[in-house]
Amino acid sequence: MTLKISGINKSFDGKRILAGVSLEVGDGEIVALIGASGSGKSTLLRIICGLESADDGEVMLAGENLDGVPCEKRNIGMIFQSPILYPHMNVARNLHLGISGKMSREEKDELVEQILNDVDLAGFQLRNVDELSGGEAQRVALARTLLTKPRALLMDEPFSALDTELRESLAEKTRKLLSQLDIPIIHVTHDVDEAQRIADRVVRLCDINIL
Amino acid sequence: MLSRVLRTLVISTYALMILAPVVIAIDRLWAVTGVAPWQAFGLLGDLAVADGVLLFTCLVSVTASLLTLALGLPLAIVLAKYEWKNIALIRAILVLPFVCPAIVAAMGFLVLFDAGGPLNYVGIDLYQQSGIIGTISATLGFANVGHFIALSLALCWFNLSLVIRFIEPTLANMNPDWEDQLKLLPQGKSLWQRIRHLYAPILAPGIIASAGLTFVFSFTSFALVRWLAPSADTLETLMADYGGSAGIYGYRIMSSEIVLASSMVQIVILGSALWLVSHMQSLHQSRIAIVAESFRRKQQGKAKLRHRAILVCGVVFAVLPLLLTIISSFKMRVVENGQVSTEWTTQGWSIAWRGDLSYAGAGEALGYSLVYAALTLVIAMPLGWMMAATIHSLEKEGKLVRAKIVDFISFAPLIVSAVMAGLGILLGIIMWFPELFAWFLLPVWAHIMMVTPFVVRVMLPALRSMDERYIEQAKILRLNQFQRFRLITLPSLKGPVIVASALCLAFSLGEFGATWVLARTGDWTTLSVLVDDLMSRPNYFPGVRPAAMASATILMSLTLALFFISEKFRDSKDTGGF
Repeated sequence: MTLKISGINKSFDGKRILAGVSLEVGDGEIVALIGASGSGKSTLLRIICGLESADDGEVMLAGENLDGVPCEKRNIGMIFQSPILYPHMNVARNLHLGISGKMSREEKDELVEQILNDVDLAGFQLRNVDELSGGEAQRVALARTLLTKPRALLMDEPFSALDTELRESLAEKTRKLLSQLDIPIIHVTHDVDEAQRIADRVVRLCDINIL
Repeated sequence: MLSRVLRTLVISTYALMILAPVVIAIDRLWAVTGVAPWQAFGLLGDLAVADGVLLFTCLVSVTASLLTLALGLPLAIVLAKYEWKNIALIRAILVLPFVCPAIVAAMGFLVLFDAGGPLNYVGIDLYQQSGIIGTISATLGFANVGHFIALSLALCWFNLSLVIRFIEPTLANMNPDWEDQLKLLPQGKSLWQRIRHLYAPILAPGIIASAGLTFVFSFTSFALVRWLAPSADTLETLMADYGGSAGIYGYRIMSSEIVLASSMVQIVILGSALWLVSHMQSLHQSRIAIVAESFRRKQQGKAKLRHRAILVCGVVFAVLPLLLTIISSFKMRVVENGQVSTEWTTQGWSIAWRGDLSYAGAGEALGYSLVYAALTLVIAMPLGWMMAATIHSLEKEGKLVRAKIVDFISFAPLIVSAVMAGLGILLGIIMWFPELFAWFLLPVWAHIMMVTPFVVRVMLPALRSMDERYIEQAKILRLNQFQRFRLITLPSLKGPVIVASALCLAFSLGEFGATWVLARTGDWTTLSVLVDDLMSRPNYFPGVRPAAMASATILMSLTLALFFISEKFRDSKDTGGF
């Protein structure tokens, strides 16, 4: 299920952000994308998952051209810099949002319990999201994304708001979790150490550059 | 984001329901009078009955706006700057008059100013204009200065909440470090310099917007003018008086000329005022964004005696007319052996409920009011929400001019006023569907016209402030449009939806101008029309006034209950103005 990006161009208000960006990420491969602020890393991820459209170029996943496919139909997971958890729902209900298909409440709860164990948050089901620390919230967001069984995973600097110690330990745990998935993963970061710790391959996105 | 087709559908529905009646009515008046709408402005000066009406309307609206600022700003400042126990309750009491039905306010002020009322007791006679008021009247050569003051005060009371809602949250969330920093700079040494460089740029759009809205609501006030300034006419009361015989070919053409001229002048003046308000509101929103980014509410210590005095006066001013209405419902005049006295009784309530002195009892009127309010909610809420979503959607796409135009269209019913909305339906729609003439649901249409702009005003800031990332995340989680609405949008907007719904119900329950115009053609009496009907009876019957006050109290209780429910769900940073 290779993710192939070719010739992506994107401008905002006449300013070119991405110029002919191409990248290929294989099954089970984790690619760390690094680059300076404003180099278009986040924009590239938003184009891949369908939140933005490219001016030019194409995104292919498992041989399928995703051009014109709306975000909600692409089945690409994305974790944002700050975890987007819905404040009107508790942890379990936030996680339920990631489960698709018909399933009984018990089956859903079982899946939630299992995934919370995987991210070391056992027993957090009934917690309100505003009671979570930054690291816990980010792990809930990761768990929810994993529950969607995505065909590819995009991570937009998910640990950048955390302190160094927590960032290192979370990166380690995430690496273990991600290595069990057989999907292409792009991890955006500006921390070269973190990139090397998590990724199989590190790619630099220059200001205006072709990879 | 709304699709283009859906957007077009929403705007068309709104235009059809809200604008079409008025456009058709003006077309009919044009046909009857033979005067084109753009030539009608001159008519107002030519018609003897309209002499001085425009001047009076403008004068009282400007006075009310200035008075509202003069009383509202100190209240907003002390509320924002100092610590208060139960601040939510105090704020709720101060802004309560805005949802209070105009006819109830009129009754409250009538008791306040009337013979035997508290003001009369301290020697201020606004009604008969004796004593000091008479002297002022004679000095100024202004025949009805008492009525003018009474009306201006009542309009100020009614709109006080606008100043508080616009200014208080902005001021409370302003970072005090900004002023401290300015004090250390050469350009911020004096208070005046700090007002010029800091407070005025931040607060001016909100102040102008609230004053503009006060002007608009004062200009179109009907119930208050009808009862507090019976000697004077505004454009709104003039239209209402002559509207009954307008639009009929060959019959009392002067009535049609008055209505056409008044409505055209009103459209131009209110249109200009609302354009300014709309522009100032968006400037105000940008100021709030700047303030909110930097700080969260933190008061500057305990209030001093003078601050407490200001707030106590404000609270007393807000509740006094309402309390007097309730008290008056239990007081009845008794004449025995030529002596007039007052007795405490619940007879007024019985008379009102049974309808002994009116065409309908309060129970029946309550039934109509509730049915109209419920139907208004069912239609106005989704329509207003969709209009707000359309404006927001255009803004997000960067189509700012189009967004501004649609935003302005959403204000349209306020431009035409309640009486004109009623006349629009009467003259316009009935022309096409005469069988609807006696349909009891006819007033619902007018209620929807008058209430929908408020739904838009509440929902639009809420949509603008909703975190867009929530929806993006939901899309990534593969939720479809309906799921996104049900699971994310609706719960996120729960507060504003409840506030808008409560306002919808409250404003519909209290709607008077349009219902009064339409109710003349049928026998559907709402509570607000019942109050007016009872008060119009000869005062010879001692039960008239307590029965009217009892009906007004029922109406007031309903709207205030809705108001307090909505306040529970209101965001403390809400600065939408309503």
